[in-house]
Amino acid sequence: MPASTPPSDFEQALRANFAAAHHLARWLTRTQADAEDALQEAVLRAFRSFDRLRPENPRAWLLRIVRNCCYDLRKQQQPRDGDSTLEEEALPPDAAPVVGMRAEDPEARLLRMADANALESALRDLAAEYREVFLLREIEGLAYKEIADVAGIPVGTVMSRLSRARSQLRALIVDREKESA
Amino acid sequence: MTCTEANRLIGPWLDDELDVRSAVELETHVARCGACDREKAELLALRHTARERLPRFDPPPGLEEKLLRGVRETANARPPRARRWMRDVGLMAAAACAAVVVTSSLQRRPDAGDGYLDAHLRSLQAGHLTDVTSSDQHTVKPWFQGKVDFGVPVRDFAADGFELVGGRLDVIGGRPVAALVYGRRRHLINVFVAPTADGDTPVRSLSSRGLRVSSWAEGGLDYRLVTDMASQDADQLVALLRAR
Repeated sequence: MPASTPPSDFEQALRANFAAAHHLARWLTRTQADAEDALQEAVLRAFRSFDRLRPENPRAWLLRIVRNCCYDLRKQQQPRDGDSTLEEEALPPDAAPVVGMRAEDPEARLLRMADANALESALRDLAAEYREVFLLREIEGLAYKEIADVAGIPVGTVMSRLSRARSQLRALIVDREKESA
Repeated sequence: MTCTEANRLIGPWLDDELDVRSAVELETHVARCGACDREKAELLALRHTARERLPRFDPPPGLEEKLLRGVRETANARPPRARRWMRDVGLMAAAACAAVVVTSSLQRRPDAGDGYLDAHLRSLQAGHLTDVTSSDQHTVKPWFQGKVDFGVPVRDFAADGFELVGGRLDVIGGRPVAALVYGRRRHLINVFVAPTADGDTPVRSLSSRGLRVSSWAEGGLDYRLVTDMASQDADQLVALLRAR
C-alpha cells in the first residue's frame, strides 16, 4: 500500500488514542503478550464497528472496546488457572476512613501515599473493576460519565467503585508498610 | 455538614463532579475540620503519585503500525478471499462426498482423526500449505477474521523451536476449520482448530499411517495436532499450545 494514502478517520482515531489504549490494556492484563493480544482483538473490533458507529467520543469508545477485550481474554484464561481476582469476597476489607480514626501519624501516612512502588503493587492487588475506574479517572482523566460509558456501568456505580478503590488502595499501601516494618 | 457526609463527597469534589452548592458547603467544612482536611490531602497525594510517578507503559515501537497493517490487510483481503473460499468449499464438498461414500461403510465415526490426516497430507502438496504465509502472529490472526466465526488463538513458538509458518482454511467433516502451520527443522505440523460445544477434554494421542494425531478440547475449541515428527516433539508443542 502506498505510503501516500491519506489516513482514514479510523486510523486517526486509533493513533490519537493508541497510547492510552495500550496503557489500559497493560494494566488490565497480566503480561505484555496478553496486552498485545487484547489490543489486537480490540483494534479489529474497533475497525469493524467504526464506520457504522462514528463514535462522538473516540477515546471513550476505544477504551471501552479495549477493556472488554481484556476481560474476554481473562475469561478465556480463567478456567485454566483458577484466577479469582473478580470475587468480591476475596477483596481486602475497606480501609477505615481517616475520619474518626485515632491518628496513626498522618504525616507518615501522607508520605506513604507518595511511594510509587507501593501504589503500583497495591493497584495490582486491586480487583480489576476497581483498578480500571481508578486508572480511567486518575491517569486518563476521564469524567464520571465517560468512565460509565467505558465500563458499562451507571454513574452512581462509578462513584462508589472509585471511592472503594481509593480507600482500598490506601489500606493496602499502609498495610504493606506495616508488614515490611 | 457531618464528617460522614463530607467524607463521601471529598472524592467527587476533587474530581470536579460536585454541584456548586455542595462544593461550597464541603469546602467550608473541610476548612474547619482537621480529619476531613487530612482525607483530602491523602486523596490528592494518591492522585499526584498516580499521575506523576506511576510507571507509564508505552507501547513497544512498531506495535501500532503492525496492528494497523493487520487491519488494512483484513480490509483489503476480504472480497477476493471470500470468492476463493467459495470455490474451495465447492471442491472440498465434492471431495467430502466422495470420502463419506468410501469411509461410511468402514467406520461410523465421522469425527475420527481421518479427516484431519487427509487434510494434513493434502496440505503437504505443492501450493496447498498456507493461505496466509507469515511468521507473525499479528498477521496470521487477523487473516482468519471474517473467514471463521470463532477466535483463532495464534501464537509463534520460534523461541522454542516451532516456527509459525502461516495459516489456512480447511473444510473437514463439512465445517470450516482453521489450520495453523508450524515448522520444526524439516517437519511440518498442522494444528487444526474448530469450535466445539463439548467441554474440555485432556490430550489423547494416537498414531496412524505414520502420523501422530493429538487431540484435546479447551475453552470451547477443539484442537488436533497432526505431524510426522517424533512424539516427544509433538508433545512439546502440545504443551506449548496448552500453556498460557
